[in-house]
Amino acid sequence: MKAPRRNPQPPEGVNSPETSGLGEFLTLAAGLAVAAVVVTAVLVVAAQRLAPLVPFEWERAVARGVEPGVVSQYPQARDALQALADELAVAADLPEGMSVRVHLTDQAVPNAFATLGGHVIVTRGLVATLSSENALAMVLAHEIAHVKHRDPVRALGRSAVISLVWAAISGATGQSGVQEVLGSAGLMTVLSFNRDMERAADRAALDALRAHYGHVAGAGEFFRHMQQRRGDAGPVDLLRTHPRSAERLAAIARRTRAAGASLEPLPPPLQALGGGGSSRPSGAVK
Amino acid sequence: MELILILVLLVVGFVFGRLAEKRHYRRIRRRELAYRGLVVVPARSPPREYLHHDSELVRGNVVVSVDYFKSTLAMLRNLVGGRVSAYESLLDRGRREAVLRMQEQARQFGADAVFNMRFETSRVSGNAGSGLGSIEVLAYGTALIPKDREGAAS
Repeated sequence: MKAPRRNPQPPEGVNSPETSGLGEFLTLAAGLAVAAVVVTAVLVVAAQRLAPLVPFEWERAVARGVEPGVVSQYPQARDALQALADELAVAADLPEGMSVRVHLTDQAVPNAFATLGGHVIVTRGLVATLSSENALAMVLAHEIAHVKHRDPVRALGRSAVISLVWAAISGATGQSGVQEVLGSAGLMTVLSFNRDMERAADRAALDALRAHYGHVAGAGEFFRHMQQRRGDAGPVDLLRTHPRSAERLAAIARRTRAAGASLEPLPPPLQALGGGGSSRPSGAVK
Repeated sequence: MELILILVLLVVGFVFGRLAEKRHYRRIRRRELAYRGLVVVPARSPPREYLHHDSELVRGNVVVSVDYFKSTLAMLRNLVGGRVSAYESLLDRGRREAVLRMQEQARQFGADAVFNMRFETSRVSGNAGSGLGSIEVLAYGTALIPKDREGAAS
């Protein structure tokens, strides 16, 4: 064997490519992002389908922490609200084993929301802005419809899936994501329902109102009120994910046939909160 | 916030890693040309014409670090499989640099050639956890030095 005179000069780019890897990176990252979105979408849909199968008892057990959390300063008003909600629950055909518990909070911002375990939270400000029982019943029936449709547990399932997928991608420990979701479930969080849920709840609420009063007059008051407040920067949660007030008013108007039907006055304990239109300061609602 | 940090690390890793790699390849090519005459042979026994040379162990050792961009790219590549080009260039640079350093040492001994050249590669993971931190490449061989020229350059 004879030694070579010189070292060979092999061509570049055989053992290592002469690319920056940026294109490869973008392709892989985009592929991963698409995969994550598809997986999330599939899981979210699955979670929303499966969530209503969770027994209501379990849902209530998860939300047990709520009950001592809210101590109403207006027990009589709360009881009156509860009585109205119970009547509406009958009108709404709430299934056997499900029940609604109303809580009255002392916030001035008009708002109401349903959360896990059939808990419905109503603010004092809401009662104070409404002039008739029918208007209040519309809001309550709307929240009862959310409970009936199992919207809180569906929304929880959705946010649990999203935060789990996010945790898996970002490499965080999956456990903290689960704890975060389930931890917030026990609190009175405003779960975000999507617009389809809201429309379905509106429809069911109008049906319940018709079943209870025989007409749906007065149902639009709260939405008209929201429409007026549109310029207000107050954090009204009902406004954000809900359909536009005008749209909802139109939907109500389509169903209102008996114009001029008599409206029920608010029960006395609720009127004491400033409802019923009499003691409401005119400047507060703008 | 976490995402911004990751993006900044990616950009820093990409810019500096790319600059370092380009510069390194330029230097490697220049020196490979300069050392073309110092023959490196992987054969186990010395060729006949070197039978009357003295021999000496020569080594070239290199440690190269992977940058954040490359390791992220490799991590993404891990998911789908395929050619991990990000690490190929890293190892290519490491091997060629190691050979060059070995040749440099051989030249200092005044050698004509290096035979029985071998590579060793190991991982210097440091605190990179399970990922690849840095790589170490060692090239070693037997320098063949003409008897009359031994120690000439030292």
